[in-house]
Amino acid sequence: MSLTESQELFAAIHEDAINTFVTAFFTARPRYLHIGTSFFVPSTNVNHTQVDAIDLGGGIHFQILLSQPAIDLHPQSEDSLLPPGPNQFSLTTAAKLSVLCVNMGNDKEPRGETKTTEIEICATGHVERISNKIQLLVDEIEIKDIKPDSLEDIIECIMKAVINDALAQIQIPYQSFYIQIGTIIPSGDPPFIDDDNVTARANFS
Amino acid sequence: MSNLLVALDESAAGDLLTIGQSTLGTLSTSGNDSLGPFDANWAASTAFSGGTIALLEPDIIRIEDLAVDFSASIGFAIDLNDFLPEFCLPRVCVRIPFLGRVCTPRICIDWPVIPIGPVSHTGSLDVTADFKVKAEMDGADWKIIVVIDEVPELSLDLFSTAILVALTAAISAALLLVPFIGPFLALAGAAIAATLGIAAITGLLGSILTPLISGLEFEVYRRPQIQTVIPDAGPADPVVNIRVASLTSSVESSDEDELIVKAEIVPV
Repeated sequence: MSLTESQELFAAIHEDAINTFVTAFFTARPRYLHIGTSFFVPSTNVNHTQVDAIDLGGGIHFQILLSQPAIDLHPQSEDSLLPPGPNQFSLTTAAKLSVLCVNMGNDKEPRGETKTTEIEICATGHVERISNKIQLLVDEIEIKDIKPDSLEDIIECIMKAVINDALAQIQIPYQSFYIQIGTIIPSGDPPFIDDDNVTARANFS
Repeated sequence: MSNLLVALDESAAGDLLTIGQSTLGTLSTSGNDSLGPFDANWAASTAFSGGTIALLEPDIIRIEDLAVDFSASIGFAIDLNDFLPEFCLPRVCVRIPFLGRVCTPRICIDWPVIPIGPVSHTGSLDVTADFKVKAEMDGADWKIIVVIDEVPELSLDLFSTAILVALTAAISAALLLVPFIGPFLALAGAAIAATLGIAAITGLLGSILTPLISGLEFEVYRRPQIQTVIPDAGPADPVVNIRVASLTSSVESSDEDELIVKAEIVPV
């Protein structure tokens, strides 16, 4: 069976290449892995993204530092709490969460003690084509050793949003999958994950 | 080890070839070479277009009916002394009263060297040839080139005949301008024409066009080793680059023949 089938072009992007794109992105723009409120991040720059504090009790300040995520395309190559199913990837990362326990001073500036914890995160997701780009989206997340389960669910919900926000920034153009061979129009078929590769078909414009 | 594979079907490979033909543009060259007994100066240009692609394992792109449009101009000089007998006005003596015998000197005419042409001819050859596809680094760029593997035999006799006709006409026109040639015109024309045959012109045309075709190389892909994946979007969002560490190309056949390009991409 031909690779291109009824299209002109075919690309198979191995999980190593996907990880290269992901690593390249977060190395160039680490701020999408490092978010914090003004106490932790005075201003947004290439390394950190400043977000608003939760407006309670003078402001709840926090910081989330994610490690470089690792992507494993189906079938599973690395041990994971959530192995990737057909047409899925798994993602592993670690998050360092910090919260400032506030004692408001007379000057209304937050000060206090920083409480920090670290968690291992496993996730599964799928790949979508958005226009002429490919994006990774997390569907399910698993964090172990948090009790009660309902708290785990809440933390997972928060971390899913944080990770999806970070991944949403990585929209890899088809052009890059085809190492810029001509101008590419993606085919109507969605990209597919199999045999440790994302496969995508396209045509020359 | 590659981590990215791109396959192109024959249609897409044909599109790349069209880009390569356009990138190559027109090749021009000039020189001098022998044309029968003459030393001919020539200039030639060629452009390549069209053709049908067939992909053959392991790394061959066969191009059928590649149009080789060429233009050639050929000029040379003829030393008429090589073709015509010595032409002398004989010594004439007369006896003149009181002066005695008076003689004119023997006057010989040196036949001139006459320029012929340049005669120009344009034509188009249909060539079928096998090319090898190769990926290689060129400075900071990766390129994929399609290089002719075996130079086909060129059918040039038709063009040689036309060039011979044009050269013969140019020779006749040039001879008419030579003083005192009247009685020798037919002789000169015949003698020169006898030295110029189809074979001589085909030989010259072949030596002009063959080097242009034997080194034929279409560049179908050229991109920097470091490629931009996501462009710069402000101070907090700098450019995202990857590096193409290796690139290979080949042909693989299944129920369809495909050009396969494999790359290893790594973070910069």
